[in-house]
Amino acid sequence: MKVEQAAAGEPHAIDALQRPHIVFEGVRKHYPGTGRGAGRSAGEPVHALQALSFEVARAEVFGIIGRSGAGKSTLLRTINALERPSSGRVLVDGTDVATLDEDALVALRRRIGMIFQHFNLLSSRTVYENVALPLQAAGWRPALVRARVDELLALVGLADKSGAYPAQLSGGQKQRVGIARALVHEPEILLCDEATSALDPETTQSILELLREINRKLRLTIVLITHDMAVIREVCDRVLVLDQGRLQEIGEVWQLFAAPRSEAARALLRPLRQALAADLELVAAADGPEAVAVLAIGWADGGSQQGLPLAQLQVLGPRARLLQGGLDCMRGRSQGRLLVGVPVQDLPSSLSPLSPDALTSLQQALGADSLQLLGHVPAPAR
Amino acid sequence: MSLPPLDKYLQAFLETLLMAGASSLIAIVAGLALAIVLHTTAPGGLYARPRLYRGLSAAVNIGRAIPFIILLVALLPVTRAIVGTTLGTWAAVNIGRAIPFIILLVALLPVTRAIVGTTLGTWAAVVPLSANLIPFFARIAQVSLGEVDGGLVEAARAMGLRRPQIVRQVLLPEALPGLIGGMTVSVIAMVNASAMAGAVGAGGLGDLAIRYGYERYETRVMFEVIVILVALVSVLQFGGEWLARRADHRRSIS
Repeated sequence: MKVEQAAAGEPHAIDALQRPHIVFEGVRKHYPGTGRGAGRSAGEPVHALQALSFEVARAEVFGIIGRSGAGKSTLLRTINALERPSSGRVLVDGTDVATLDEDALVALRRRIGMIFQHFNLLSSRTVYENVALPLQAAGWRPALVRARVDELLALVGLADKSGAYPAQLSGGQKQRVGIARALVHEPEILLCDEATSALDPETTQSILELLREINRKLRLTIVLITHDMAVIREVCDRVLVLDQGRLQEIGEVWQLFAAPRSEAARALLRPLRQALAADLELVAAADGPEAVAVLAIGWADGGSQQGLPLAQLQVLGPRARLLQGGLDCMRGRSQGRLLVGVPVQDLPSSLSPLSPDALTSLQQALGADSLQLLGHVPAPAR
Repeated sequence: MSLPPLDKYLQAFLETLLMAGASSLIAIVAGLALAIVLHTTAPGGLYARPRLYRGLSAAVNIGRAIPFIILLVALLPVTRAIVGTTLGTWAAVNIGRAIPFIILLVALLPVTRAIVGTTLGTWAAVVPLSANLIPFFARIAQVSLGEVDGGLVEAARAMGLRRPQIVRQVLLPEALPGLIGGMTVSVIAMVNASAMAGAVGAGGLGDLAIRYGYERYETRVMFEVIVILVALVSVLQFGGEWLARRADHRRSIS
């Protein structure tokens, strides 16, 4: 609604809304060497982050993915100044968070909620008291605290658990309490630190759905870090791939899945990628007309249309077999990869042998964005 | 050969309670304050001041070590001085493990006089007893505070709590089960230590046991005092454990 109002005739409001929410400018972080026994100067400084510059837009779900030790946790913590960059700036709404004094920092942190992998709930407090803590610390009157906490426990679906202690809850319920606690001050940013990594797949799904719902309902900017590509696929709009403190690539999630450009991204995607059965042995050259060529056909951007018309595959002839693959729709874009086996003699004669030119024309005929010859399966012995 | 009348037992019991109770209260309050300062000024703490931390930590170590240092350096002359002048009848006592505390007790006599105006009586014993326990309890409490998950402090900072609020509303409540356990250990140690406080005429159960049980060969008195002490220590131990369980919500069975 705010957006429409602004569009109606308040150019300044548009500026404020279109300005990136969080800006990273050349953010570096290094720690002094850890070699204590050998003396401090002897240890090489550890470079956790190396000159990162990027922006996070308002109300988007922004994912940061990397292996453990990639620096993503440090990066996330620079947003609410739990970590200070060694150099460079982090701007939230145009304000450099490193310049804030304690009072301003407390105010900033109330605008930024945070949830954690291990939930970090106080064991000495009930669910209600955990969610109430940030409000009590801000000096709210008890009646207002009660109303707000009840509202949030209802939002995360735990209204009936307010008197329980965290130890009596399941992991998913604990994370819901963590989310409720992070939202009490109606923040504009929510930071998620591996929020689903300690949860089972089913619970992960429900927590991710809740995050999506919050993002839509409250128009909240979410920055999440994870090592799990499935989480990125599920909730994120854009993603940044971090490896050894360096930005590997950044872009729309569907683009990353369709065509990863960095080795780090390919490595992270590998578990999700469909591959050929391990017992299928491929040879480089066809040993005869009955040999089967195995092709990988990729669709990177399905455009506005969802799915793939099967008629497109008829180019491959009647004996082509679908070996492996799938199509996926992410944020309204479909993309995917199919592995097919086609007898060499069924391919249009101009295509055999399968030269690069031949592959290009076949790719065009299929309407695919990429086509790759993986190898051949020898003709079955008669 | 007369056994002490019942009210002697009662008086001795109350004196022990008074000494142990008052000293424990002082030592726990002061020790906890010291522990909080130690914990928060440690490197990486909420108010990280590494130099202050190292200084305080060294002071606590010295406080805990003083009796032993004196014992090592000046065992013979000090013992002779104690035995020869102030203590008289203690010469016969098998001092054993009590020596360090007794030394502290005597070493602190001028301080005690300045604080409570006398070096004799039950209250006089409270000063060295407290002084003895403050660094001890400070270390126990520091360990309990250190066991609070750092993630909780981080979460509290992330949700906009100020540092004093984090100490009051996160660190202390989360460390409470451990703190109660430490208090139990300390109060019981205090009951034991107070038995030695007869040296300054403080009375108490230990004094009764030695004067009647040891010096007059009334073995029965000794045993009766032991029974009372065992009962007192058991009550304290069970009470402490019960309180600690009440405060502990970390396990799913509440």
